[in-house]
Amino acid sequence: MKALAARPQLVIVSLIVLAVGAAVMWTATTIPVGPGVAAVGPRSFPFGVGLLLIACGLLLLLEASRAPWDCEATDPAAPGLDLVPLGILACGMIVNVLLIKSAGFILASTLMFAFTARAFGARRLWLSVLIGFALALATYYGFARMLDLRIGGGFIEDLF
Amino acid sequence: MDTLNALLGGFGSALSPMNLLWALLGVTLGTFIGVLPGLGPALTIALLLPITFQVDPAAAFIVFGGIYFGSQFGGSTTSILINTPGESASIVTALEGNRMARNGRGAPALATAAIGSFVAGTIGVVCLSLLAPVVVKLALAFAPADYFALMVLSFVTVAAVLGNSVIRGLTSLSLGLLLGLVGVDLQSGQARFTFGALDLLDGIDVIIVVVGLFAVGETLHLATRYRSSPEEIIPVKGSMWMTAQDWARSWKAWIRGALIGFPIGAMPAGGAEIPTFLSYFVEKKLSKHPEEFGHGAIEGVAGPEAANNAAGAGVFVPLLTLGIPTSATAAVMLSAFQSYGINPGPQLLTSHADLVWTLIASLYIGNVMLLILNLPLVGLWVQILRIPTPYLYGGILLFATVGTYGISRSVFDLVMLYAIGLAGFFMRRYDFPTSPVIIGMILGPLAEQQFRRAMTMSQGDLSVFVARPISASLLVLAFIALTAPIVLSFLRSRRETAAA
Repeated sequence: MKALAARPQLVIVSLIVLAVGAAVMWTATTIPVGPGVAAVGPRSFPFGVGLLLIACGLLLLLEASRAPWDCEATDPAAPGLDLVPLGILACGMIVNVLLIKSAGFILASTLMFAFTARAFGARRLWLSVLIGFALALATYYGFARMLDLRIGGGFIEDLF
Repeated sequence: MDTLNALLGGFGSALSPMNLLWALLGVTLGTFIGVLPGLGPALTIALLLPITFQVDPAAAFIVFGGIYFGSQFGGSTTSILINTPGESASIVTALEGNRMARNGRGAPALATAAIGSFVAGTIGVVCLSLLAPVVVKLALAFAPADYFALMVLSFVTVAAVLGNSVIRGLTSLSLGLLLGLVGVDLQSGQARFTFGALDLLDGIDVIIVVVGLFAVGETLHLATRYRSSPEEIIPVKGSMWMTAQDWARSWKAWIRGALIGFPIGAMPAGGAEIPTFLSYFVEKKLSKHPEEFGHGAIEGVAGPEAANNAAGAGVFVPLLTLGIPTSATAAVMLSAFQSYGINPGPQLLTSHADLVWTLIASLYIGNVMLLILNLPLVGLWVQILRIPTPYLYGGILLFATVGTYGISRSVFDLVMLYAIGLAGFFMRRYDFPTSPVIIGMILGPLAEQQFRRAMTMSQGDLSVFVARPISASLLVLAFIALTAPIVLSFLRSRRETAAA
């Protein structure tokens, strides 16, 4: 017996695919075609991809309304969506995005590390901040230098 | 004879001390990543793509090849000891291997997986050395139309094979094709799908997509469920050595697994899942102890593990001779070739013969290294599984940030990384496969190029794709691959209604 409660979710997923397909078609019409009109221009492939997405969206919609497919979201045995860790993780990522330019990679990513660790159930904040800081420092001076990545300056980066 | 000489030349260069060190680095890193649940070779190679700006191509591909094989060895350790197969190809290993570990036979399970991977990997690389030059001869006859048809065939099979549903596979593939379209069109110079954003003019970096889907997406997905499904590591007990009976039951399964795995892996359709499942059923059928299957039958570990590794070697055939990647990892390797300005295809074996044969030789060497690394040292690798989850995933997100922000120093890229990660989370939740996204993104622009080339040559006449026998038959195959599952399920449901 499939969980019919999850059907609206699958319908939404199908509609999103359909909408992306339509958006691709519409955007493709705005691609300028150069003066030398070739048989196949820069629009042809985008149109094809858009059509494919629309077709997939319609078929998914059909499947969702007839026989919802099996996945984690429709599996009655699967535990419900645990939103608390997801929220904490998202906060960590937002902090990283906001701070990485101004405060620098080491500080921003240490914070993200601490948020992530908390999301996965770490209890001692000081320990995860410490580990995160050590790892970020090691990554900045080891991995990044080896690969010659330029992660930019920041509070801690500029000290050395 | 040419092949043998070329291969010997490859060994000469792969055995240089520096290249041996690169190989050791690759296999060690690969095993490490493979053991970590949920991380795969595609992600690792993507994070290391920037080394292509630093070292010569041979060194980079030796490392990548090592990571590729190493993660397959490491992945089997994880499936056997904690029943969380890292990739779909090791689901079967977990089936019997985890049972064996629970029965206190974890050590022989790990041993048969490692030795079987070695045997099959070696057979696979031998077949690769023999087959690659032959395929190249065939591929030289290919016109753009044929190439396009071949790419359509691999798109379809990749979408149909990787995952449980053709439609969801095709949806993932289309999303990948869309990501590949973003940026300036190289033929007309027009910007496509950039929405006026300068950051998008160069296209979306494959690293961002791979890291977003595989690292960020996986982390988000696990965060929502770790509280409800704790993992249990089964300690390795028992003698490390297989008994005479274990050997007797394993060796035939290894050979059969390799013979099933390589041909399927080498097809431009590819995938390592079908051969592992096929090998499992073959072993179950042929076994003298069918009652043990489901309760820890050693053949059920030996065969599929061998099939998996032989298929892994097979994937190099279409990648190196046709430039067609059939797995996410192969797709990332293709973009590594592109970053050196090398286009894999039939010309690769003549224009960069040294590189190809050094890579193939280093695969032989890597296999030997992996056997040594994994058999006596398996206890060491198991320790990795003891890294506390919070710090493990904190570290993964940290590396994801370095690997993407570090290349471009662009906050835009970082936002895109997390957005793609969120999309990856929903794809996992609604069972859309993620690998077709990567393959579509890398192979899509090449397919468009061949399509436009073919159309220019035919002056806009679409019939060129059916007029040429090669492309026509490839397209027919693609059509069959696409419709067969749908027709079969329709017939089955009709039979069920008739029976009811």
